[in-house]
Amino acid sequence: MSSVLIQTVIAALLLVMTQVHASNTNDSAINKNNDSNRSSKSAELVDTKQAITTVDVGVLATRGVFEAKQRWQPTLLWLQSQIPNSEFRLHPYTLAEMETAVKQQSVDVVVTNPGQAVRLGRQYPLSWLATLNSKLGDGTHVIGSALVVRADSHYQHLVDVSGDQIAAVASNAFGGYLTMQLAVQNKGINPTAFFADVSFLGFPIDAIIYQLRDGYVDAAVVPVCQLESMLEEGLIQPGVFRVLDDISPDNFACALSTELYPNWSIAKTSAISTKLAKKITRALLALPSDHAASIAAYSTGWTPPISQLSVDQLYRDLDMHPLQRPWWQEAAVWIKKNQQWAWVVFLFVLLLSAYHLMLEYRFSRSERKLKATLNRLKEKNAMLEHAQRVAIVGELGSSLAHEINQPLAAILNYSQGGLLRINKGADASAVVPALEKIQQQVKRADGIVQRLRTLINKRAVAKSSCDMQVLLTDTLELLEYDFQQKSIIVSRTCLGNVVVLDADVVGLQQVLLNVLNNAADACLMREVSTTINAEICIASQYSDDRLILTITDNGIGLTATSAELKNAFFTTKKDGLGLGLAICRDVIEAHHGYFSLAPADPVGCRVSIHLPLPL
Amino acid sequence: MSQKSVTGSVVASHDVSVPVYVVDDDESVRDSLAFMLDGYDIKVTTYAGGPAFLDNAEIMLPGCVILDSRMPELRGQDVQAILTQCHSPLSIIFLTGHGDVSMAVDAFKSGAVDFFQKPVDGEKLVLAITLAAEKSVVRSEQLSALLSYQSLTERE
Repeated sequence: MSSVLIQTVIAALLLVMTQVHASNTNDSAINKNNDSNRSSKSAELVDTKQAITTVDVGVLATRGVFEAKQRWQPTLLWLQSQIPNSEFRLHPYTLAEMETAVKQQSVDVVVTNPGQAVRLGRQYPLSWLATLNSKLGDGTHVIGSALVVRADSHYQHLVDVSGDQIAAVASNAFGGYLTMQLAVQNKGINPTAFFADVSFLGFPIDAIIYQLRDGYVDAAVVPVCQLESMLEEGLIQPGVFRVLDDISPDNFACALSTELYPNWSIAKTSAISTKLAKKITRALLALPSDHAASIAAYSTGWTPPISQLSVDQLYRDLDMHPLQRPWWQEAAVWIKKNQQWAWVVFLFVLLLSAYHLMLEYRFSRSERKLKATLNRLKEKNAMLEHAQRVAIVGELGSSLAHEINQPLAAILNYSQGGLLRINKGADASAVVPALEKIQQQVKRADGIVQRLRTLINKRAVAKSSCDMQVLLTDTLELLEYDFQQKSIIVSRTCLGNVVVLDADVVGLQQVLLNVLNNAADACLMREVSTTINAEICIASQYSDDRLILTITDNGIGLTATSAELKNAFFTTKKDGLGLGLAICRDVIEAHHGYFSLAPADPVGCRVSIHLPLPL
Repeated sequence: MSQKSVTGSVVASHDVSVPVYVVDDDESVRDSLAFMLDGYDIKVTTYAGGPAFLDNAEIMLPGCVILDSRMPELRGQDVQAILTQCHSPLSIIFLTGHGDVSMAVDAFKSGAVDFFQKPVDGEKLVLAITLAAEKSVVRSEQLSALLSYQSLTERE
């Protein structure tokens, strides 16, 4: 079947070559070889024994297939009448269809707007034959856009429409979008913002006007004269629409919001011969301006092709010229051209990166060192503080013992001596001096105790403004290293509005230190087997008149009775003095507050500190 | 410090044939010790410091000295060292206000007979004094024998 077809095709081609394109149709024959359909069609023609050349004409159907046929069929008929043995066939296309047709060489001649003409012309081998001449303006520059709004809308200028609902033909439509985009850009408006809410409705363009009329959109971008054509055809009522920023020249009958660009042009693809193209051009140029074909095409005939530089410039300004390469290609070209500089830049960047990495490495290393040093420092500090405390307490205890022991020793001696004498039956008068001396020694011991008390209380209690939360933070900072070593987790909560107290900051900090150290010790004294983490919760609760500070640990809990806890010098710790809680109680009571200890649930101890707030 | 041993015990007079000295910088301690020991019929001579004791006491004769360790001029340990140096037969009982184990060990190593912390129970002290006095007499005899022996060999 296929071999028969191929034979037929070859026979037809031979005929076509010899009879129709005898002179130079080699390339076109090869091209047509791709399209067996068309070739077999030629074969049919051959069968009729009449050598008729078929020319496929693609036209951009901006207003639909019907309108395209009405507009261009007369021109094709004119060409057919001027060129013997030819048949011109009309193919209305959309923008995309047109591009496909040109790409696949399935059309011989294209008639399209300047936008597409330039796009196609820069990508495919097209030769321009003629430009449509218009009765408008200078005749050749008649393409542009109009920004149409409803007459009753509040829009006055282009800029008013920015960001509103706009309808346009397509993102690559020339008169239906691109010219307007450039106009907007040239007015200093950001096109992206202006067309933030744009919808592309495609061909036919009439639909866009109807959408605008019916209020689906606020404005419409349409090719110039679209509105006027529809008005003339009676499709819309006069006075319903307005065109914004009309800048149309005096001799230009249509309203216009943009620059004017060259009119539609006709071009041949490489599918037909130059000879045929010459004939077509001659026929087009010979078309009288008042001929029916001219009128149907809204023109006054054809002129030789005019420059499309302004269209090129438009594409360039919109940064979408077909010959424009993407930036990375441009960069690659530049790098190839300037290799030495590229290497310099590359090496420089490499060096910088290496330097950066090196700095980063050194920085992190010294940071680690600093942290380690800081930790060591904290450790030493803690050890020093501990040693100092031990030394002070030791010295104090030793001195106190000596001082107190002297009178106690004397009292014991006197009393023992006195008793001996009484037991021996001595006279009471022999004992009296001993008793008097005992009294003296008791007074002496009392004096020592009084002196010690004043010494301890000598520190003037200076009350100052004190934010308990700041104090807590400071205190926790002091203990941070210690807690870290003991792997104790501290959590803090704060309820209510923080109120600044008027308090003895040093005293309160001593209280916090004592309580927190106690809690930490309690956590450490737990059985090792417990799997739960050692934890201390600090909760501050501010109410109208008081601050309740609760410090809860999950340590060993309370082992002593509350009566025992109230005594100074009572301790359950191996090396404890039994002074911590007594000091806490004293300090808190000096602030008219309340200090209490209670077991926590399920294990541990809860310390509650109530402090009145200043009113 | 328990005192019931004193009140409950039968008071016996202790015959201490050698002199007993008390060296303490605290007047009340000296006075009260003297008062208490007097109850046990022990007569003591008191000194307010090391130098006074060394200058005035018969340190080369048997006897017993109760030394306070912490004194301003000469510490008790210093007094002990001087006594040992000059071969004094005196028995030493330390009575300190703030003793610790190392201090006691040092004292015993240096030849102290006993070591007490203030306040001290009278009966225990008296017992210690009695023992110390006996030791001192024995030691005095040993020392004089040694001395005479040494002097003999010298002449020869």
